[in-house]
Amino acid sequence: MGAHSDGSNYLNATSGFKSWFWTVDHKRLGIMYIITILSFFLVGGLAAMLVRYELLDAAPTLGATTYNKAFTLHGAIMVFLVLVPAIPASLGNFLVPLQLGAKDVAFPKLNRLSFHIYLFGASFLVYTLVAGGVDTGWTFYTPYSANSSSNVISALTGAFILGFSSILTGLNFIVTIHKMRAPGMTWTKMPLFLWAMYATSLIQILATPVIAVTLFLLMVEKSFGIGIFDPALGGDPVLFQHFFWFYSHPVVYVMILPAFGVISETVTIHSRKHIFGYMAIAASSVAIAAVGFLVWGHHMFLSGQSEMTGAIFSFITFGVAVPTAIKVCSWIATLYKGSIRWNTVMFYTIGFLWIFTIGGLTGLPLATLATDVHLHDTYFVVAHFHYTMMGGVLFALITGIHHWWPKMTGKMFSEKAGMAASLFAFISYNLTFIPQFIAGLRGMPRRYHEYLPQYEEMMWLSSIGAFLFGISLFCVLAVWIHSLLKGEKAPANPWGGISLEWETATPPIEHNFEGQPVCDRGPYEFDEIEVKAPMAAK
Amino acid sequence: MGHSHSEPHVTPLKVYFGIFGSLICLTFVTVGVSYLGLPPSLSIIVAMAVATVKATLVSLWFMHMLHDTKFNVSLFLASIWFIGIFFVFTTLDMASRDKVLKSSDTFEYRKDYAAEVAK
Amino acid sequence: MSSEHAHADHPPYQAHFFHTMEQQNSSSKLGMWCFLVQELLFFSGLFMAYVAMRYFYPDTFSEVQERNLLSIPMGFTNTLVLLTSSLTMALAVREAQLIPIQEGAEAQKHRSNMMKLLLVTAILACVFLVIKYFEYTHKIHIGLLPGSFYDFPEWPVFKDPGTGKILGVMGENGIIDVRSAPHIFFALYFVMTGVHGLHVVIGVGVILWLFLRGKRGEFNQENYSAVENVGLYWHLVDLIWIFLFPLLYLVQ
Repeated sequence: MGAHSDGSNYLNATSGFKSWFWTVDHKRLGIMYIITILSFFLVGGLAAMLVRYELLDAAPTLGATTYNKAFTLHGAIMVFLVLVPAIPASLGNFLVPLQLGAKDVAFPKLNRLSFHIYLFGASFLVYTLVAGGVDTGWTFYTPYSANSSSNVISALTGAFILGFSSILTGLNFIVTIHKMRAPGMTWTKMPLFLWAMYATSLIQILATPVIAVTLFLLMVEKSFGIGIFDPALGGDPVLFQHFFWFYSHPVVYVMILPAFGVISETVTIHSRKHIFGYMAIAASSVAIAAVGFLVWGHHMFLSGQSEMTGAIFSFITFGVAVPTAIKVCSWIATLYKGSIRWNTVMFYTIGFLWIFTIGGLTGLPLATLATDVHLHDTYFVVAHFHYTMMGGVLFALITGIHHWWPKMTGKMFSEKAGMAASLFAFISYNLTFIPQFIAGLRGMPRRYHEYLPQYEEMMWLSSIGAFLFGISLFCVLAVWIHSLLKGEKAPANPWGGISLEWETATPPIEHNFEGQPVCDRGPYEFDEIEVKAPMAAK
Repeated sequence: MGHSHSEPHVTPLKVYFGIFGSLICLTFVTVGVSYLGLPPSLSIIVAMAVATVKATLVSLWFMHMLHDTKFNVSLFLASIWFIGIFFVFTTLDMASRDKVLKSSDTFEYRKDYAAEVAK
Repeated sequence: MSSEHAHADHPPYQAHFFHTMEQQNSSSKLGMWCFLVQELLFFSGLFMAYVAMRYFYPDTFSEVQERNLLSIPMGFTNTLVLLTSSLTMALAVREAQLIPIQEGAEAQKHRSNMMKLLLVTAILACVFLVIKYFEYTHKIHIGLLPGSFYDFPEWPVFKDPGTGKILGVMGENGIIDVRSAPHIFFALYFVMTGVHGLHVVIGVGVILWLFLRGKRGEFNQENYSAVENVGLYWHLVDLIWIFLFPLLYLVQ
C-alpha cells in the first residue's frame, strides 16, 4: 500500500538544499542525522587514532597536553555528538512513525528544531576543537575543569545545547508512541524497537536536564567562582561527580536501549522466528530505564564517596544487569531453532551479541567494590565501556542501517562485500580492545600518555587493531557508497518483515501511507502467515 | 485522577477563588511561622510541608491534574520520584562521609592553613 | 452544510497527521507535561546544590536570617504577586474553554476576557521582575555578590590574594571561620532566583504571544491547547517560587 504511480517518494519528491534543511519530514531528518552523526564519528575516530598513535610505544610522542586534548575531544565528540543521538535520532526518526502506522511524529516542527539545535550545539564543539581543544577529559571533573585555561566554556556550552536536542527528540517520541499508534496496535502489538525507543525517550526527558544544570553550574563556577564544586572556594568536587553521573549513567542506557531495539528486530526477521519472550524484552526495557537511575555512584567508588553509599550503589548495579541478561538470553533463544539467514545483517547481529555480552560481563568486576579498587581508572574500564557503548551501539547502528537500507534508499547492497566487511570489522575490533582488558588487569592506567614498558606489548597490539578497525569502517562505508551508486533496486519487502514499515513503498512516499494502515497482528508472527522474502540468502 | 473526557472539564469560578484564597492564607502562615524562631531542622520541615500543600493545590486545580489522564499524572509523579532519588542518595553520601573527613582532619587542616596565611 | 461538515471533519487548525482535534489536543498536552518534567529535573539540580551547601554550611544560612540580609517583605510581596498571576492565568484558560466554536458575540466576549486576563498575568509578572530588580540592585550596591565577587564589609570573607582561594569568613581577631561561607549562599541566591527570573521573562513573552493570537481571533473551545499549555508552564514557574521563597528567605 502506498506507492505512487509516478515513482515519487520522500527522497525525490522535492529537491534542493532548502527542501532538505528546512524539511519537517521525519524520514529526511533521519537521513540527515545519519550523515552528520557518521561525519562526527569520523572526527571522533581521528582523535582516537591520535590517542592510539601516542600509545604505540611507552615513550611520549605527542606530549601530555596534546594527548589530554586528544582523549577529551574523542570522548566528548563520541558521547555527545555520536552515541547519544546515534540510533534514536537516525533510525528512530526514520522508523518510529512508519512502525506505528502514522504519517509523521506528533510535533514535526519540533523535530526539525531538534536537528537544528543539534547542529548549533555541534558548532560549539567544532569551535572548541579549532580553538585549541580542551584537556579536562569528557567528564569535566572539578576542580581542574573550573580552573583549566583551555576552552572549557565553549565545550560546556556545546554539550548544554546538545542536551536540548536530545530532550526534544525524546519528548516527541513519547507523545508519538502514546497517541499515534495505528488502530488495532495495542502496546503489546508494537514492534520491540518502539518499546526500546519509548524507554529511551523516558530517560532522555528525565536525565538530560540534570546534565544541563550541571554544565550550567560549572560554567557559573568558572565565571563567578561561586564555590559549589571547587574546594578552594569552599565547594565539594565529589558533589560535581554526583551531579555529573546522575545523568551520565542513565545516558549509557539512552545509547544502548535503541541498540537493543534494533537487535530485537533483526534477530527475529533474519531467523524467521517469533521473538522469545516479547513481554520480558518489553518490560526489561522499561526496567533498565528505571533502575538505571539508581546506580550512578558506581563511577565514584574511589572518589571520596562514603563506603556505605558505595556498597548501596554496588548492590543495585548488580540488579540492573539482570534485565539486560534477560534480553541477551531471549535473543539467543530466538535464534535457537530458527531458520537463520547467514547474511550481512545476521553477521552484525551475532557480532553485537558477542561484543555486548563481553561488555556486560566485564561490568561485573567493576561493579564489585573490592575488585574495582584495582580496576578503577585502568584500561579494563576503557575496554569495558568500549565493548558496551561503542561496540554495542556502533555494531547495532551498522546492523540497523544495513537492515533498513533497502527501505531508506530503495537499493540493495552487495551481501558478499557486506559480510566480508563485517568480519574484518569484528576481528579488528576485538584485536583493539581485548589487549586493553589484559593491560588493565595488569595495572595500566587510563589517560596516561606515557606508561611503563611492561604494557607496551598489549598497547601496541591494541593500536594496530585500532588502525585496522578504522580501515574496516571505511570498507563498510564503501559497501554503502557502492550500493548508492550501483546497487540493484530493492524489492518492496526484501526480508519478509511484517511490521508496518514493510507495508509501505520502498522507499516510502512523502506521507508514509496512502490511507491509515490498520494493525491486526503482532509484528513477529512469521509462522502464522506466508510472507515472501525475496532476498533470503541461499 | 479520571480518564480523559472528550468534553474538557471547566472548573467553576468558586473553586478557583477558593484555591487562591487558601494559597494566600498558607503564604501568611509560612511567613508567620518563620518569625517563631523554631530550631533549623523543624523550621525546614514546617516550611517544606506548607510549600508542599501549596504545590498540591496549584497542581491539582490550577494545573487541572485532578481531571487529567493517568499517564500525565504518573509522568509528573515519576519526575518527583527521580528527584527524590537524586536528593536521597547524594545526601546519604554527604552524611556518611563525615567519618572520612574527620579521620583525615580535612577541616582541621584548612583551619591551620588559614591561620598560617593570615599571619 | 458541506463546509460545516468539512470543518467538523478537519478544521483548519488541525494538523494533517492527526485524525481528530481530541488526538491533537491530548498530544500537545502530553508534550507539555514532558517538557514540565524536564524543567522540574533542571531545577532539581539547583535545589540539590542548595541542599548540599546547606548541609555543609548550616550556620551560614542561619546567620543570613539573623542579619536580615534578604528582604522578607519583598519576597512575600513577590509570592503574593506570583500566586495572583497564577489565578489570572487559570481564569484566562477557563475563558478560552468557554469560547464557542461558532463566531459571534459570545465568542468575542470570552475571547476578550481571556485576553484581558492574559494581559493582567503578564503585568503581574513584570511587577515580580521589577521587585526582583530592586532586590538585586540593592545587594549589588552593598557588595552581597556571588562567589568570588562577594565583598560585603560587615561580613567579610578571607580571600587569599595570591591564589584567590576563599577560606572562610574573617573573624574580628584575625581567625578565619572555615565553616562559614556567605559567598556561597549568595551565589545560590543569585543563581536560583536568576534562573527562575529568566523563566519568568520567557513566560511574559509567551503570554504576550498568546495575547496577540487572541487578537487575531484564534482559540475556541476545541482549540485552546496553546493557552492551556502556557498556563501549565506558568503554574510551574509559580510552583518553583513556592519552594524557592521559604528556602532562601524564611528558613533559619
